[in-house]
Amino acid sequence: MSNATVMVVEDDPAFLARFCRIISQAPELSLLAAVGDLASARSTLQRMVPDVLLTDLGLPDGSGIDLIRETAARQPRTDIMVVTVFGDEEHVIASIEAGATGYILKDSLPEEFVALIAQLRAGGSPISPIIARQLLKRFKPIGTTANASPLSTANAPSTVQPGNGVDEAGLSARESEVLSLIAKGFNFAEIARLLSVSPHTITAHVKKIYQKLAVHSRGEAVYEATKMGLLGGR
Amino acid sequence: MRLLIALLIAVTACTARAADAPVVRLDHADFVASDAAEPPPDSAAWQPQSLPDDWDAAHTGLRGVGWYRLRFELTPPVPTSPTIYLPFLRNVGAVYLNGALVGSTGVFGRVDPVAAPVLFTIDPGQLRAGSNTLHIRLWSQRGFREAIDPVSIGEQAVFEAEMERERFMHFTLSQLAAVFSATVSLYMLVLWLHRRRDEVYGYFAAAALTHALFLFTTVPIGGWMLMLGNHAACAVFWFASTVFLFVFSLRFAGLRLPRVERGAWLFALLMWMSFAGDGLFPGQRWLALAGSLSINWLYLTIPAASLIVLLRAWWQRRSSESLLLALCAMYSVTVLTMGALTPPQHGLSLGETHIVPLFVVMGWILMRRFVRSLNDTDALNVHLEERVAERHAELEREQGKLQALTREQAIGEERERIIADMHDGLGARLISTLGNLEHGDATAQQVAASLRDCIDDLRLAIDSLQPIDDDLLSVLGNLRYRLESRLRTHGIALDWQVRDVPKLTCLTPRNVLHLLRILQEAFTNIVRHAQAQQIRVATAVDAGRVKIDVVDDGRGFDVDQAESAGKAQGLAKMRGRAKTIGGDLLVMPTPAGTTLSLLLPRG
Repeated sequence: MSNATVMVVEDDPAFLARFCRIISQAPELSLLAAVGDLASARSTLQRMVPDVLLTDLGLPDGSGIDLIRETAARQPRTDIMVVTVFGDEEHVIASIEAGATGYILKDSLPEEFVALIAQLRAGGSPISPIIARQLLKRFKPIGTTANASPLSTANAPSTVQPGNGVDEAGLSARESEVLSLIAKGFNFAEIARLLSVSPHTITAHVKKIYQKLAVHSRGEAVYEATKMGLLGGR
Repeated sequence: MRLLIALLIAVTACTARAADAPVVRLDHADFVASDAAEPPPDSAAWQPQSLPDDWDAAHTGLRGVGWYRLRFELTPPVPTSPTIYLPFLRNVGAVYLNGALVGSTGVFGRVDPVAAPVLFTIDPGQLRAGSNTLHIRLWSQRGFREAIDPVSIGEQAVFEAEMERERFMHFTLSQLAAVFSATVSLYMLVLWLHRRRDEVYGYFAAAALTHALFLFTTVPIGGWMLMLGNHAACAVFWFASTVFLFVFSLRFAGLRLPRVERGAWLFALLMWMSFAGDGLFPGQRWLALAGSLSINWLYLTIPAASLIVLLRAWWQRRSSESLLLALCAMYSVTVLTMGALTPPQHGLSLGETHIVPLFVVMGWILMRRFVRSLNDTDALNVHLEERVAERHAELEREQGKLQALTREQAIGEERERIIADMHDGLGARLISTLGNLEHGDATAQQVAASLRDCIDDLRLAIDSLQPIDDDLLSVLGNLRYRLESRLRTHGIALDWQVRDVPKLTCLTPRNVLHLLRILQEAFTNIVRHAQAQQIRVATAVDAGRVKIDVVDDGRGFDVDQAESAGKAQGLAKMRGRAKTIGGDLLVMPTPAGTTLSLLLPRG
């Protein structure tokens, strides 16, 4: 795989500079653009398509979530990573719902940073035990209530293939199992061994879970269903 | 009401009388005190005497038998069914017309205190046109207020109405009073039986009952005349009734004076003996003293005492209840006094019903109390409901406050913990790094390493705040996620052998941080000193406790030696943290490396 082009959206100049330095020092990455606000990010994205979009959420002229949503809709080939801080898993989930496929901690060490991007480029979806726990919690109520809503199927995009034995609104048993093992600290290889499947299958499962989360967040009706589901799960 | 009835009857009687035949009314007689069984001859010491004749007034101290001689001229025509009418005579009298016995009102020698009006029908032949003589023999036991009213002779029909009137006033009213008294008594008795501690009702019931019995013994009710004339029994009830009323008055006034009560009973007993003694114990001389007392006034003592007690109660309370009771007692005493003052004669006798107003008032009091207690109960219920609602709201408020307080306290404690932790851990480390950097005795690499430690520390602190639902594996999983890349850079592989363990309630954020620090320290030691290739992390349940094993395949070390040499400061710190959580830390050398076991309490 050739060098991956990366675009960075970060309003803090110090972090922006740090990200740029890490990317330019990594041989497998090349910096495509670095901007500090939403407007610039939008105009830049009109002109070029990065392989990887790294974006902060709190931008001076808007939310990074919107940028993620727009980019995910327009450039399906772009991998979107959200830049976040410690303990902000709520925003990570929101970003994944908007279409992000990974997240990276703002103060990650350079090697971690590069490794995560590489993992993303290789088709994986970075996930931590904490995120896995949150996803398990998030899906539990939805799986029970959103099923009943005809709107969720009406608004479901064609990318999700219903009818393969998996309920598109909730998690399959295997997906739940994978998330649960991730939450216990097992890595993909170990999980693959435990479940007697290939590591790629696990990666695919995680990606599917992310997609499901994103599917949920699309459209007002589904949003409502999600809310209802969350309320109903109390 | 009673007065009204009396008035009505009086009016009808008057009209009836006015329309009828003439009547000979005899209010002039001659009197002689004589024990003679037959009318004394004209030669006896007859003294003129007008009727009515009250023995107490006209013949003070006279006991035994006295004779009246009444002469009258009958102008024809002689009545077809002539009748002699005695409206009032006491104690026992016998009537002789022209020397022949007509009849008697009772048995001589047996007291009859009632003095009912008597109508004697005579044979028309006995009554002569022209002059006739009527003799009346009157027996007095001993000052029983003996008296005789003017006697009338005329057509029977004329007197029947009058006698009806007299009988009504003497008997019917008394009968009504007796029935009323008995009803009140029954009512009060039931009330008292259900509320034993309210003695007032009990005493009132007793008073009403004895008064009813008194009335029953003085009034012929139908054919039931058993007690009639038994003045000893009748007096028992009368005195008992007055004493019961007296005790009732005391209780009503809130007084409990056992000595006074005993005194009242004793006094009543003496009174009764003096009153009835002759009849009960004939010939007993010692009773003569008591009998000589003028009981006309003494028997008023107890009712008067009741009046005083009730007046006192009214004076103290100024309540309508006590006022009405006092007025009733006053009425009672007044009527009894008037009865004693006025000569005994026919007509309305209020004396026997003197207590009736008291019963009416008592009934009113009870009704009022009953209604009031019902209203009070209703009000109380409403009030209670309000109170309950109020208390409920108050409790909710308090609970809300308490929750807020608890939350605030928890937040406060957590804040303090985080501040202390950051200050002692991250802060101290940053300051020492800064110090080293400023003095130039640290290489860039050392500073970088130090700062990485700081970041690790920070991450642990943040991870300890994650909600983990008492799930140990979640804590361990996250730790691995944080540390694995670092271990990998040192060429150490992780063998992740965690198994599900029971939930641990000890995993509060504070304890999670201790746990993470212990494990972090363990990993750091392995990285620095053990030269290990692999670290196995395993969980298990061991003797009711949850065990975390961190096993390395490094070169190991002598724990005792290290500790005794004071080199294992980190180890001591780890033990301290383990103790804080309530757990134990075991470090054991194995053939190939070191095993560190952390035992955590289930609770």
